[in-house]
Amino acid sequence: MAAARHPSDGADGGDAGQAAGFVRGGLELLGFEASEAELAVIEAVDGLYRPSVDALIEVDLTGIEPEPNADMSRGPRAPEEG
Amino acid sequence: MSLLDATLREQAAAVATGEADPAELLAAALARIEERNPSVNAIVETFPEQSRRMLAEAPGGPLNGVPVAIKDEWPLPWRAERLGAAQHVGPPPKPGESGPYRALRDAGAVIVGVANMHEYGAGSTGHISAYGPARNPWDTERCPGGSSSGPGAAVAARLVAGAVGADGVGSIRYPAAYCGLTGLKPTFGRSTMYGHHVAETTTIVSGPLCRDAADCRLLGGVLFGEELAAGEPDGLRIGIVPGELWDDCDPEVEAACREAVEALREASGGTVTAVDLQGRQHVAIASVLVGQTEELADVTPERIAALGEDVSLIARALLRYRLLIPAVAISKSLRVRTLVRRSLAELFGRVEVLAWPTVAAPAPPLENPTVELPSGAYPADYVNPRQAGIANLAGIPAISIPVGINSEGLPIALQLLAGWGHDELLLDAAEALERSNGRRWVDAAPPLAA
Repeated sequence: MAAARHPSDGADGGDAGQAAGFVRGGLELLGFEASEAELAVIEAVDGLYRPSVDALIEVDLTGIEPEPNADMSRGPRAPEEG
Repeated sequence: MSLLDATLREQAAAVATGEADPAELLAAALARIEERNPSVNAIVETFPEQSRRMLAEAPGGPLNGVPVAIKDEWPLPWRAERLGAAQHVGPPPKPGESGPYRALRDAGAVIVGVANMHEYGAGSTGHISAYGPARNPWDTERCPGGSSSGPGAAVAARLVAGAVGADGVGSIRYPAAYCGLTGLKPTFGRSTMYGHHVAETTTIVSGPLCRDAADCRLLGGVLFGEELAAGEPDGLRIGIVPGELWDDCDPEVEAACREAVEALREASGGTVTAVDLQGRQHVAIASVLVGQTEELADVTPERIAALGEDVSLIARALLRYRLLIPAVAISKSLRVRTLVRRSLAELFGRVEVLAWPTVAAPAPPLENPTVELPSGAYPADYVNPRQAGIANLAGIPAISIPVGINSEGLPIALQLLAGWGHDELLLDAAEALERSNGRRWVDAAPPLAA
């Protein structure tokens, strides 16, 4: 079986060092300790999900009417229903 | 043939007519767990005394005297849930009467054991648990699926004919698919969730894992607190979403699922239409982010630091990683949810069900839970939410139906999704599909249970 590969391999997946800095710095700022082994796993997971998260952050979703008090047990109400 | 090999409804009927002695059925279930469970590690605890008490006090009902299992995600009066983990994040929960427990008790069912699960419910494979991984009865070196790994393995191994799981990002449907079972993820809010540790969830539901749709109808009805009427799908309008949901699947999976859709269309005299779904490129990440952040309110630095090495390295890392998810990503996930719900509402005006493979590839090895797809090899946990997450994100019901066995002897599953409240339609469609193939796949037994 081939080694696992991320869909963004070969594309611009960002700077690995920058991502590691974000993980380590972020946890430190929040006051959460992490071992080197835990950090290695976090960085691997971040490498996997970061492109999807970045794409989500970058997408412009303005213009989508919000659904206040959304009820997941039924379909969305029309905006005028509030 | 032992009555344990019969369906849930056949067991219930045998007890109801006096053909079977429920005490003997319970004893047989306990004996079978003793015999087979070491191979699959599906059941993590039995409690014969409490089971016998449930039987003695059974009030009658649709599951009177029938043994069932329940995932380690629900408190019982004599046992707190452990979530497949060695430690809780924060104070340990207490035993109690969860909604599923009450529903089973009031239906006369006998809980014969607690079923294994992926640690903290945070995985689609079941390969990590404080109890050791549950194993797939079709190949015990393969993942049973998660996080309801034990319910899936227990039913497939014929330890019980029905089990209660929970589904937050596909956690009933993955084990159903990997283990060749039928698994229903109900419409959000229809099945009882009382007593669940994520009280404020907007994604998680309880639901049944059984051999076939009729058993899911029976056990699902118990969890819903209402009888789920059966009907015949007539002229079923099936929607297909072109793209990676179909194309980026293992070729055997894609072929079997396309064949099943065509069989369902023919059986119901229906139609198959290509439709598109707005926001679908963000559905997987949005469902993961929403699902994985709903329980963060219990996290503090001290609680995370207190987790010892008996909690898996991956869980300790993931718990920390969740704290770094940008708020803007979570906020946008909720906006994607709105977009997807609106798009689905529009689609379900044109088609009655959507269809695509439940999982993109059959059960991966426990040792390396990676799947090979046309676009490359990925951790199963990474690709599975792409197929299943939308139902949790939007609140709609979905069902996983066995539709084949691949060249390695592993089950293949089709997923059907319907509009809010149309759980019964999914069960009807699943039964129509079973009839169309002569129940070939729902009656197939893994070697371990043959």
